[in-house]
Amino acid sequence: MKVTVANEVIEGLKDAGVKFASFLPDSWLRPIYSRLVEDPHFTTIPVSNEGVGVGLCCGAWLGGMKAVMLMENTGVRMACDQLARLGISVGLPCFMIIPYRGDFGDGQSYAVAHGQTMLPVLDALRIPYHIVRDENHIRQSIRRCVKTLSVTNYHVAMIMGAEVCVENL
Amino acid sequence: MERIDCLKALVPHIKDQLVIVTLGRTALEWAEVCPREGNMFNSGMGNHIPVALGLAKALPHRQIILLDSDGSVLMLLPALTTLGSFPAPNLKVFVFDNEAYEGTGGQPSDTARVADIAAMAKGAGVEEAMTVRDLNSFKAAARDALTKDGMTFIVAKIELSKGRPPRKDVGHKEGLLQFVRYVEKTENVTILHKEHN
Repeated sequence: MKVTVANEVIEGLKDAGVKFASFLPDSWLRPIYSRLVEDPHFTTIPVSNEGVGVGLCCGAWLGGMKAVMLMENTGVRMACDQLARLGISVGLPCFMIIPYRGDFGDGQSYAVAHGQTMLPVLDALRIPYHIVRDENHIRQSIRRCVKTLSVTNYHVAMIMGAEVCVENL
Repeated sequence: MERIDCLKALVPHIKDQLVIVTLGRTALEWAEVCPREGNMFNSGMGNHIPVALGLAKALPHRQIILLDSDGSVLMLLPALTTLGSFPAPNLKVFVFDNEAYEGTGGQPSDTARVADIAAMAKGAGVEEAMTVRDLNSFKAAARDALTKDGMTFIVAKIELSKGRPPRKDVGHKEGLLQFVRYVEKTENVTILHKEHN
């Protein structure tokens, strides 16, 4: 990922009022994680299970803090139960930023499953998503996603396509 | 010891804390002995530690109490490593461990066999984790937890409940809104969307 893309994500989160972040690191969003940990603007808690991160973000929301969970699209499968219970049964929302592993041009065979299952799983969980494929659209997408979460009181995902995550795709 | 007696022992210490409560009979009994706006019921089995920790991080000046259960903690054990790695001094965790899935007929949980939640929490970095097995010990531990600074993690070994559960409505959506409005009011924050016509 280019440094400029990571900048757009960090500044986009700040512009949208997000102050709490959780993540389970993946390789495509790598430049973002250190920025979140080092920037005192954010309260950042890395996790070892994406379901825990989703719960943390929902808890932060309950305390009035806008939050974001960054995770590879495998994390959507891992956090299925937490997303379903917290979102549908309880009414606590989580904003997610997800790299589109398994997108067209991803050269890793392990990512095939991630790409093929991500959208059907998000649809099954009724989670609206916005796929960003241009670096110049990142800030606006974050702002729109955070607004939609607020209006619907439900999870929203911003999916970052391979074009914005991988240099020399 | 019985869970209801433990919960009653907590009531004198409750002032303006935010209390996250697990599902099942724990929720019904807490709603019976301590009904209030600052209770949040059933964030979903397994989710209580993450939700309570996230809330504690968002409001570090506010005491957050979690009333959890063995089945719920066992469902999402990685939450313990997060709790140990990123402790919140304002978070007071109580795990009522009756070694069973009481709501589905009392089938034994793994804590009836070999699992030790306090030991797992300690291994995950929750240094304060402890187990109490009688009411006097619970009362002393709870008093210390709720009157002193620092995160606490108390596993209370309890018996299976006796008799019929209290008939209390811990309705989800209405309860969530009540809790959120209470946080908005007492913290002077905006959580729910406002539309301006």
